[in-house]
Amino acid sequence: MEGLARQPKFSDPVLMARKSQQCSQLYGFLATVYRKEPTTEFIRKIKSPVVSMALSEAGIELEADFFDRAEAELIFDLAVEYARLFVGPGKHIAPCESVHVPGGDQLWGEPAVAVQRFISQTGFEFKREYKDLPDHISVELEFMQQLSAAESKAWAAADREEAEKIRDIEVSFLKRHLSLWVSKFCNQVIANTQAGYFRGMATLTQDFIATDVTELEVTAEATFP
Amino acid sequence: MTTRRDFLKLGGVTATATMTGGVALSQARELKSGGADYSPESGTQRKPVPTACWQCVSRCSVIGYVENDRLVKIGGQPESIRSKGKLCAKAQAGVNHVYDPDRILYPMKRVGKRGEGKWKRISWDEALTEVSSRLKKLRDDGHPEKFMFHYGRMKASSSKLIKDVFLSTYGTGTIGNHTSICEGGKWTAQELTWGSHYDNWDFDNTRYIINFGSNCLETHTNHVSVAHRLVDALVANRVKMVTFDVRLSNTAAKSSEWVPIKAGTDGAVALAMCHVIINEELYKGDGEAFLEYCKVTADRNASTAEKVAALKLHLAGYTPQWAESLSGVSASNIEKIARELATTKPACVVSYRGTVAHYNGNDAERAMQMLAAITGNIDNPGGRCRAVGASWNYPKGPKNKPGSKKLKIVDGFKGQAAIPTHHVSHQVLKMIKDGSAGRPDVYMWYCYQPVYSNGDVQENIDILKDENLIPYTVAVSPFYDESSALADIILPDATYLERWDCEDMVSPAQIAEYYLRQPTVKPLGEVRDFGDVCCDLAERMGFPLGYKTKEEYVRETCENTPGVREAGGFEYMRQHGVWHDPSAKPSFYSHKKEIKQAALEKDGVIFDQATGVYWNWKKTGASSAAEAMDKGFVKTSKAFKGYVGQLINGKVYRGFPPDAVNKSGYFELYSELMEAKGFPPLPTYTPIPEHQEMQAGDLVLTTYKVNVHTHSRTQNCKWLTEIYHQNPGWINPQTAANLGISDGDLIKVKSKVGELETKALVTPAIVPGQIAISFHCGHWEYGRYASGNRPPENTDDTDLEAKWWTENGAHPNWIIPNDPDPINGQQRWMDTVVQVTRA
Repeated sequence: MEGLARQPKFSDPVLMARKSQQCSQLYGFLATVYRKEPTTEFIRKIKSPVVSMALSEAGIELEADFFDRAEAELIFDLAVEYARLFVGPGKHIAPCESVHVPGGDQLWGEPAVAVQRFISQTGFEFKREYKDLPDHISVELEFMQQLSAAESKAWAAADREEAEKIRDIEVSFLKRHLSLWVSKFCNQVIANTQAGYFRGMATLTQDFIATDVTELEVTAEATFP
Repeated sequence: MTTRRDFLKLGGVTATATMTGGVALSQARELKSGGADYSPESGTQRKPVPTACWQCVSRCSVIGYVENDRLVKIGGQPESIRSKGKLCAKAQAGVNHVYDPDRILYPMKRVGKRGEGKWKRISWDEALTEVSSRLKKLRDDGHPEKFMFHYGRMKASSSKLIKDVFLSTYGTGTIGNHTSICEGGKWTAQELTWGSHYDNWDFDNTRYIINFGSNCLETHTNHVSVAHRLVDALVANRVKMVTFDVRLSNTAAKSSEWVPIKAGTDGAVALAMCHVIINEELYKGDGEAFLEYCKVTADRNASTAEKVAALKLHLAGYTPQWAESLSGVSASNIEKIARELATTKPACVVSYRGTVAHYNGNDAERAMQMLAAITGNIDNPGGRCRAVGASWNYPKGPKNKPGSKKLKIVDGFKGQAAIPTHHVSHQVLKMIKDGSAGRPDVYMWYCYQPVYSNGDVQENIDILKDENLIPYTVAVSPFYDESSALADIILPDATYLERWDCEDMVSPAQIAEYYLRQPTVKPLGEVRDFGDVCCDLAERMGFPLGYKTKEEYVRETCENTPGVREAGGFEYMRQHGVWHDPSAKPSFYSHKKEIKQAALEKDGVIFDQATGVYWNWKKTGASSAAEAMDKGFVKTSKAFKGYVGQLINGKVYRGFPPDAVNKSGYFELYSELMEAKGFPPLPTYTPIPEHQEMQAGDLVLTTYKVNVHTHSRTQNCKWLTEIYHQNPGWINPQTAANLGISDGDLIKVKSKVGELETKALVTPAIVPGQIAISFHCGHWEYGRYASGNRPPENTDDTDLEAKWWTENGAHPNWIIPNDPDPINGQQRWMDTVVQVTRA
């Protein structure tokens, strides 16, 4: 993950802008992974030499089957596996913070409200057409994507103060929310799927966020606003 | 030693020395019993949303309290004249439904074999395109009846919109319900007697209660509204209550007297009491006066003396000694209780499934009606009253409806049930398997659990799983239960706390209460109320219903309903949740209302000489007055719909209007409809055939419900399942000793259709020769709390780590056959003969 990790504070703004942008892109990529079952287009992108090589460099090896199988069959099986893992019906791993952290215990628990509040306090709002839960992992990842993009923009404009402010928000969100549960969640995915794609994506998610947390000098604490 | 009483006395005498009002404290807020709630953290008031429960069929008015867009609590509705602000544990646990981590949030499509558990998420558009294209093809091909819709609970506006508007405009009449596994048998017996199908017990005004087989403090179909009144009657009014039950239910335990009785003999005891009352002339007074409105012999003009003589003759063999030999209740106790009942005015005769869900349940309930009638306790203050509920003025939907076609698969096999006015739902899957009456191509169920809720579970699974028998299955459900697991498509329904409805359940105040269900929060994920989905499906199939959503339908209903409209209509209901006419008086004795001459002279009204009924043939299935006159009231199709009044001793009364069958306006103790079907016209005791053939050591299995669960739909609520998740078999110590069973032993319970294992609870709280196993338990789907199925690998739920129990009980329906009462089709939950051994 070294290539994608952010630089410590007070580095070269140009470099910081590039790194933040890369982080934003990776958060966005992971948000797409968990948002819904993979589309053909998305799978094709992953199979492209650029992405697959980057994944490999990041230590994520998708098995040969992923590349060799008939596309339609692969897409179908991944959709079924996505449902089995994250949607149900029946036993599944709820992809929502509320279910995983103490004080939650259910869908739309207190942590979901806290996530919703956190996001709205930073000036974002949920789109009207978004019907899913506010603490869905894809939302939390997308939120980090947006923050990182804003940070990148601030660095690009040489607005260090603004960039640092956004970094603080990122740190705060990771500390209060994403880092509290993502590792446990990814471990469950890894332990419960035979699909290399989801194992790989869960490993990537876990490793990347762990790195980002470290780089952002975050200490995860179970505190809520 | 100083007692609390002494201190209180001191308080009384020192009051005069105290300054009026406080010095340091003032009352910030008026103390109120419910209606408001505050966050314990912030102290801010939570947003109250008046709505209605749906956990059990009582459907109480409640208030949902919302904080930060989350439903955090459900409280009572103090403005309700039904519940008066009370609510039960089930109602409070409704919160668990909304936020159940296992609920279905998206439409799902089966991609493996049916029942394999392999699913793919699909969009609503994809789901409804697929469903509507199948339905449209059936309709276009002229076979709408091949779409079977089977609901469990569907009431008030949901029923009207889905059944009377959507399904009716679509054109299918192949519509099943689940009443025969609930209390349909009681309803049929009442329809045969007094026309309508629900009785309210006026505990507010009663002085004596006799209860056969109703656990009404815990689980009645009008639970809280009835139970809190019963508590007041027992405690505040010191009313005596005698409960006959095979088991010491909590209702029996709180009664003045529990009378243990053998299963299936309630009717015998009731008839024996009638014998005592008639022979000792205890009917004189109110009972004798009421006999004027009763039909007791074939002659509708029989005098009261002739009626008494007929009763005396009919009841002659039903002596207390005879009843003792069957029921185990001593003759002296039968006599004593009969005398108490007949001489304490007014009195309530209560009965429910313990009495009705038997082979002889129909006449057991008719015997209860007789008991109430001859003591003058029918539709009187303090007696057994005809139900009063809201009469919403629902929109009818499209004018041009095609006329429904239907497969004859909802009333059981020929000869199974003579008068199944509420259908025989537990035979539907068997009939589909049989195929002789046709099979549906599409079988859709809504708020129903065909697999788990009926008897003979394995057969249900086998049939529903077989794609050759049922090509396409659709589950409409918020949760993944044992039946949804066998669907081809799952349409995720909104929970009741996320949807709209006008509601109408019976009011024990005998004054109608109109109330509203409204969303407390936005539906989670992509779930949609099935009422909205029906509007969408109809539009896709080219017959728009005129409403885009159920909310529109509910709004129009509120605006069109007299009384509610004047009070402020939809907006009033949204704000207040409940409405009743403040000037209305409790409804009693409606049978005594005389019909005005003008009503008898209306176009189409004719007189039926045989029954003494005035009826409007134009509202019936008759095509002309001549045909109606020729066939007569009883034999004309749907004649009951044209009922106007009953001629009794020269006057025309409202009487007891028929509601489902062509009975007269008399209170029919003597039923010609029964007679025409080959059954005795007067209530009669028939032994349960299987119980006559029991071998030594055989036991009778009885079932029951507890206060924190419904039959099948509350076990995903963790607050409830924490309280009740194990259902041992109750066995009397004497019986247990004979079988070599000790308390806590693991036992096998075997019937002709299956076998289960549970633990023995050896207790004198059940009569010998019985085993009692409750419903509710033994789910193998329905989420982590109901089934014990944890999420994959370890746990993703921090609260699940605190789940201290590991057992989830046994489901008795595996071993109970789907057998109907031969008259009304009621599922015989209480008749199964079993063998019990140590496992």
